Amino acid sequence: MSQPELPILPTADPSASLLARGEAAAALALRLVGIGTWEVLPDGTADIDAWPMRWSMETCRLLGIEPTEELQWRGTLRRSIVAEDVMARDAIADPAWRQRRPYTAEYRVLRPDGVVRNIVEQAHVFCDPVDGTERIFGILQDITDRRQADQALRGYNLLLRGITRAQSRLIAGRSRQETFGELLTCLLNYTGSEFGFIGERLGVYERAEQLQLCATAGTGWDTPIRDFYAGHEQSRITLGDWAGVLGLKDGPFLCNTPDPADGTCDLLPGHPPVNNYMLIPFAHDYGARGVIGLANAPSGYGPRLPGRLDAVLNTCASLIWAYAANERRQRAEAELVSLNAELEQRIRRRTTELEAANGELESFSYSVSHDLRAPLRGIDGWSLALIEDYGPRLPEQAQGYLRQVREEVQQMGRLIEDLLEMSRVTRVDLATRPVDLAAMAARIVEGLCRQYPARDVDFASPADLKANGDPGLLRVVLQNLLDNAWKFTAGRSPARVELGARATLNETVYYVADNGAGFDMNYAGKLFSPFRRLHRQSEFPGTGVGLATVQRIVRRHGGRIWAESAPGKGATFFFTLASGT
Amino acid sequence: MNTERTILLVEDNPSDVELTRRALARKQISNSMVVANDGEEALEMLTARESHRRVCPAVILLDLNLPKVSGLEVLRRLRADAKTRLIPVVVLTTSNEERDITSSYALGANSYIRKSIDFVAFADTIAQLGRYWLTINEPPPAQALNGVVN
Repeated sequence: MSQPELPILPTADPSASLLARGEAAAALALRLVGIGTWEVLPDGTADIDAWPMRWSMETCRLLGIEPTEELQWRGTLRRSIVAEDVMARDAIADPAWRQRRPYTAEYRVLRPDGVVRNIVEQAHVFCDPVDGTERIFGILQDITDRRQADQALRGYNLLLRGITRAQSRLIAGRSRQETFGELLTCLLNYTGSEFGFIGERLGVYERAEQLQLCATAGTGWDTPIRDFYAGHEQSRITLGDWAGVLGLKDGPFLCNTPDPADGTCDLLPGHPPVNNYMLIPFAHDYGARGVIGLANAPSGYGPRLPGRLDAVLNTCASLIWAYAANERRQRAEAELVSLNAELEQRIRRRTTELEAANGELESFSYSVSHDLRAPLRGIDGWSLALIEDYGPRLPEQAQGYLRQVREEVQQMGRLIEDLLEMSRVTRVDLATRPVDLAAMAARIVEGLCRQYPARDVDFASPADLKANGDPGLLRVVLQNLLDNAWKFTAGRSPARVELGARATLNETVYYVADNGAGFDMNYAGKLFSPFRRLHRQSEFPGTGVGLATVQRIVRRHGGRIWAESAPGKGATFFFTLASGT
Repeated sequence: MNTERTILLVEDNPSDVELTRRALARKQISNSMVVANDGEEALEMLTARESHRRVCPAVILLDLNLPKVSGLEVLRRLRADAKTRLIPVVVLTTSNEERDITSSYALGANSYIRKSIDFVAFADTIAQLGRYWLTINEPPPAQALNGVVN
């Protein structure tokens, strides 16, 4: 590969004088930064166009004119300047020339090759040290790139502000229309479009695809048309062929010369005239899709425009997704609220029913307590009266019957007592507090020892046994379990009863174990039903209500109760209270 | 006004009345028992305008479950009336409902006793009650009762 032929560095020409080389270096530097210089010698005449002047090569290059032309500073320059900018430039430069003031003017020039450039012109007045004459020395600098960058930045800022505003609308919980309205306004400003829309694309199949408008805007619409489109913000437009014609499948579609003949200007009824338009589809990773449409920009839509709108397109997609997610959440919340309301109503109804039932139970229990027991006392009393007053005249067998009657009365009394106790434990309010079951059991065992002085029972219990529950009800539990243990170990020697607890992973299991008669596990299911007894009355007396009461108490504490046993092998009753106790 | 020390039994169940009388008779103190068959009658007897008809017992044995005026209501009215508010009242009932016990004491009952189904135990209780209130207990002075009346 051969070396390209390089230009000669003018400053390095050894034959040139130092001054010439310095000048060459300055010219090169000006060339590299794109600055042209010029000099005018005011000759005192009124015609400033006729003042003599010098142009640098770079100045000619900036304006795109041949240095061979007959150059005249003001006339030549004014021909280059874009017509609209001429007056403004003259208004700054001319008085400054006359008054010998420095100035800066900015304008566009239209070069003969048709290119428009942004130029800044600056000048100062100097005094020639040799002859003392005045000179105006100035520069021209091409600032087109800087202006374009500024403009791009301003545009980008405009878009970012729009995005920020739209996002804050979303965060503030404003409507979809309002949020997308912000974005659309921003897009109209950015592109200079007259009107436009942002829509969500719904439906999987192209033929059935629908567009739901998120926002429409435009100064070109009169009120009825605006209302027509506002209506569509609530409903959906079926895209059908429209989507295909507009090329929605394949990315941005720009049309600067719409023609009804080829379908590129097939508008909805009532739509204002369209001179040019742009449609850009967008999509979100999670599947939200939509399209932005803009129309009637003064100078049409350039192919690089869609790329500059990337941030807005992504925002649109995210917002559509976010609103859909919000709507889903709101629907779920509404459902939850209505379910809760229904549940609460059901609970209220049940509570009322329960309260009524409890009230009935209470008055029932009260009357049982009174009215069922009073006659028993009568039966017992009058049976005894019979024995006391007429005993001598009654045969021995009759007296035996009467004694039997009195025994039955006592059994009936105990039954009523136990039933009342069982209904009471369901009715009373729980007053839960820390309880020492060991101390409680010790007192109960003392009572049992007094009640059955002939029994010799070996009772084992830890020094203390912490539990959380209603002391009164827990005492009933222990009383029943220990009563049973005492009862069913009758005839054992040595009789052993133990109270204890085992900690499992998430609860404490309390137990009362004995080495008594036990029971057949086949009947364990009947243990806790009222009036179910697993032993004959003659073996072990009882009413069959005690364990049912115990189970109710344990359940009211949120616990469970169960038993393990085998005939002749003793029985162990386990119970838990609510977890965490 | 009756100067003898008497027991007023307020009880609507004739069987219970007879059994109570029988229990007292066993200790030879049945003669000193007066009976009111319901709450209304009890109030009449205790607060009669004519003093010769008025009963002023050493103790009132009051059942709670009474027709017309309930036992607790009788107790409330007795305690609200200057003529009767110092008379000892023993609530004697089949109920052992906690709220009955609490209400009785709250209304100023002097004692609360539950009637046993076992007649022997019942008779024993009645006899003890009779002996205690008729012989052991010092009643409020008649002066105090009269003084309050005047």
